[in-house]
Amino acid sequence: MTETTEGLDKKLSLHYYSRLRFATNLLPQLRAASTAEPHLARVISVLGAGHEGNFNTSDLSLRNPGSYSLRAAANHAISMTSLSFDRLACDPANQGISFVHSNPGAVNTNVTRNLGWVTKKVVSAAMPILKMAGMLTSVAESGERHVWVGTSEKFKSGMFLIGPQGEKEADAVFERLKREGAGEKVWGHTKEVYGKVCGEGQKYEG
Amino acid sequence: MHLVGGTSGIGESTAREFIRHAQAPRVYLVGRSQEQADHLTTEFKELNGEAQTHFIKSDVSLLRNVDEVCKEISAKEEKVNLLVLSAGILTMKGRDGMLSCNFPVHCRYCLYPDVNRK
Repeated sequence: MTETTEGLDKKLSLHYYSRLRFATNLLPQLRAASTAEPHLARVISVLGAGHEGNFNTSDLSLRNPGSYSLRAAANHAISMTSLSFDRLACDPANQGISFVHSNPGAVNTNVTRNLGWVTKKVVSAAMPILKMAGMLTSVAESGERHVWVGTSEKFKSGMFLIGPQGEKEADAVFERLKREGAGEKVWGHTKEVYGKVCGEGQKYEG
Repeated sequence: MHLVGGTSGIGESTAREFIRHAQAPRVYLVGRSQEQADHLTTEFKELNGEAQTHFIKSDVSLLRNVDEVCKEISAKEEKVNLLVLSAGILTMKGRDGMLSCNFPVHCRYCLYPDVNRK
């Protein structure tokens, strides 16, 4: 866990809090775009749609050392993104905007540069295998796919969980989390964080 | 079209494809690397002579920085068509032993405002 000066885990901030903040801040501009030609207004979070899971609703920001792990951080960011995007999509004021949570799959970006030596070797060894199995997307192709997701009529309005080929991701877990009321908790928590950090200029301390 | 994007990885490649296909696109790249952004600005101009690329240097892991960036963008743009959020740090999702190298390392966001599609 790496804590930012604002009291949030850096990964969670980059993958969830920061992205949602962009989306909510720019709603006026997105709404304006949705009502004017060419009626295109879309928010895409490139993360891990379809990989939602049970997450710790009593420690959403994973501040307790015992709660934090890489997997938990991924799980939280992914689940909270889907739930909050859904919340935004359900708001009638955002009717013409679509919120897309994408799972790009394995993409050959230069993403390993911050990893340790051994891990780098493991990752580069995995790439050709993934490629042969047809599971590796080139960065260029991923860019094309995301532009397609960003402009296709298919994703005109609402919330979408999209996989590497532009297919609909499995949403059973997401639907269950939503039914259980996790979305409300996440939204309340997110607003609390924004209020503390952005509103009051304070560090978030749980 | 207005796109806000990043300076490397999927954010960068999305911005590139966007520029290639859009008419008079205006792109905001948000990230930490001026050098990368400069390369992309030059490249995008060659790809599409009508493209306008603006770079906003910021570390968006901090929410207050996000607010500053958004303030700057909303002062310049009435409309935003595409907001592509792809900043992140590599995580290893090892449930089935597969490495998912999803996330580009540098911060990047793509906003593509006001596009007229070809």
